[in-house]
Amino acid sequence: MTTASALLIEDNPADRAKIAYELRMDEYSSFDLTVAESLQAGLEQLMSQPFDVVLLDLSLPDARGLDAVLELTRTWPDLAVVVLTGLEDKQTALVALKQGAQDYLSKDWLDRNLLIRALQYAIERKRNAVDLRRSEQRYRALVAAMTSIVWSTDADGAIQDEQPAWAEYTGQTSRQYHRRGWLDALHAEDRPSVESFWDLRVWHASSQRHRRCIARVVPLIADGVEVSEWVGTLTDVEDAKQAEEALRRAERLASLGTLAAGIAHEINNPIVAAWTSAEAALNVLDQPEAREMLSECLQNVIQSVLRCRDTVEGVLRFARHGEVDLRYCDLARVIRQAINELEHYAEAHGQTLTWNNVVELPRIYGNEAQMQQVLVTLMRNAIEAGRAGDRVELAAILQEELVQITVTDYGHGMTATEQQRAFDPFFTSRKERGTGLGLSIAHGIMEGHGGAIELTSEEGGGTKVTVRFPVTNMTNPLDEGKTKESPE
Amino acid sequence: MNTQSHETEGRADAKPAGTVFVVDDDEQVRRSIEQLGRSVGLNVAAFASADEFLKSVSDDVAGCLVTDVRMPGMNGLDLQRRLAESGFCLPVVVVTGYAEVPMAVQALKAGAFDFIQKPFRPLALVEVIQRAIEADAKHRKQRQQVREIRTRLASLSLRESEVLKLLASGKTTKRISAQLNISLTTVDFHRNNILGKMRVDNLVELTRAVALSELADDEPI
Repeated sequence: MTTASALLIEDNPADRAKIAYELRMDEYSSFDLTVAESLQAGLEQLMSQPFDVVLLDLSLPDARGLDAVLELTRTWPDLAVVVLTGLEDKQTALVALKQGAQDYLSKDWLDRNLLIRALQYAIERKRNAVDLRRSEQRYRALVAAMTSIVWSTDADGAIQDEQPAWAEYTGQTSRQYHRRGWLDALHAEDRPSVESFWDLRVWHASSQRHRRCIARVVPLIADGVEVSEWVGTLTDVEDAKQAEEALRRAERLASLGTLAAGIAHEINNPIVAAWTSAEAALNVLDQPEAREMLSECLQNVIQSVLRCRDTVEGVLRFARHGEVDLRYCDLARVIRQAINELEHYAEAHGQTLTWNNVVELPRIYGNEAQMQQVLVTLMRNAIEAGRAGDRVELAAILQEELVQITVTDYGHGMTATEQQRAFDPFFTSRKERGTGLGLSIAHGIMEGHGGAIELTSEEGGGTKVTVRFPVTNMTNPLDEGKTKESPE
Repeated sequence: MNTQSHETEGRADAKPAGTVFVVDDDEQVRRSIEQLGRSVGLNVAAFASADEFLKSVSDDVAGCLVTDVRMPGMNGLDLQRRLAESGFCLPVVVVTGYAEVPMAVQALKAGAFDFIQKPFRPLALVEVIQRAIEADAKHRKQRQQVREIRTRLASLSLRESEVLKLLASGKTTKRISAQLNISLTTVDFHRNNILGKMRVDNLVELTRAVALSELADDEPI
């Protein structure tokens, strides 16, 4: 049995009594009836409390029939209205319907069933109409949200592709909003709540566990002003997430394999050399004239073992970006040493290294060994990318507070994919050699120096890598002595 | 560790003459192989690249070549091919790294003497090198023999060559005399001259010498 609140606006006491009696006597419904003797009194009632339905007499002394209907439906759009006519005037009743009333009843034909049904249907019809109107508003709100700024992210909330509308609104460049960078455009206080959208776990009844979901809400703005409700969507991404995680695991294992192969390559040579020289030393141990030979063998053993150590250190350095000992150092000397180290390598590849030094290089605050490592990595990559007869150019310029060093080759260049992955650990475009750690370590080192590394390449046209160090003009007497020696 | 055993293992046999040519771009590996070779009394010549090696050896030399497969510029397999093209008969031992078995297979198919995978036991390398040098010495000796046999063959007269061909194919003196329409005495005369010129004592040795001379230069005997 349903309970509904009804307001009867009727000036005729006999009609009021009859309607109240009929409503009270019905056993299948329960109307909470309030009675008003005039339109004014009815309006006051409506303002003080909500009603499901109004039963409105069209021949009230203080209203001109149909105007009252209009006033009610405009002021209370969610209210169901049933009009009472004493005239059996179908014309007037139809106009009332057009003005928003749900039904009409003739007082001359008022029987209980008809009355009850009219009221119930009116309420029901009105409710449907309201729902329809709301859903239309919702749709409009969604459309409005969609047409203002359309942007999209992947399941993790990372932007992968171009988002022109977002860029235009926020002024972020594609590089800035890339991945989760778009969150930077949000107010700091709003960031956590937005970020947490991507980590929603919702209880799922049929699988009896929490599953990862993505929730999205759009506010529904009622009458263009207030947020009246939220329209939410919930998308289950558990399966997608699991598939993605499985893929990541597989990739990690593959990376581990690549790393292992790289280390094996790098370490097997010095192992062979140390072992072989040691055996050679044992072979001549008893020979009286063997001193020189023994010394040579042992030197080779030591050098080989040091190489193993360096490789292991490199891997460890990559694995944990260890603290670096920074001090003032001579950039010119770093470059000279790096070039010395690779001159023979370039020669063996039939290439020439050119060093175009147009500026007096400043001292920088950094770690010499590491910076040399960066330059050697870049130059070695450049040499390996080129063909015999090519040249590798090294140049330095000063740009305000930055010193910029470029290493340019005219070799095979890199595809777009290779460029994207160039700084990824274990990624290598060389099929024959290398751990794929060189550029990732260089990247880490540059970051540790407060600098930057950048790569531009054209497939078939060569590659240019630029590193930038901040210049320091400060002198620290305590450091003066130290710049001459380097620990490695 | 028993140093004595290394000593005896390494220096046990009398070594045939020959040079171990080492080509490896890795300085420490190159040096260590050089030291190992010298420690067992071998002549070693080491090179940092295939080009350097090819520049320095112009004639066919005795010994063996130990080359890394993976090198910048010309790799070990290319070097092996170049040597074969230039008529070098030097046995090639190919050194491969981690997961380079396919390259080893390729090298063997192209006629490499053997391959050894890093990290190898140094004594295993010595053993391979010694086998290679012995094989090379044997090969060279046999090729020398073949050359001598060919020179002797060339010294035979036309008639002697005819008789030799028939003798080598197993014909009796009688058949030869009938076929060439000469007397038995003449056949015997030619036969004795042939045995003398070819420096063999009997028909069996003569047949073997002829068979050897028909082998191609690089064919193993």
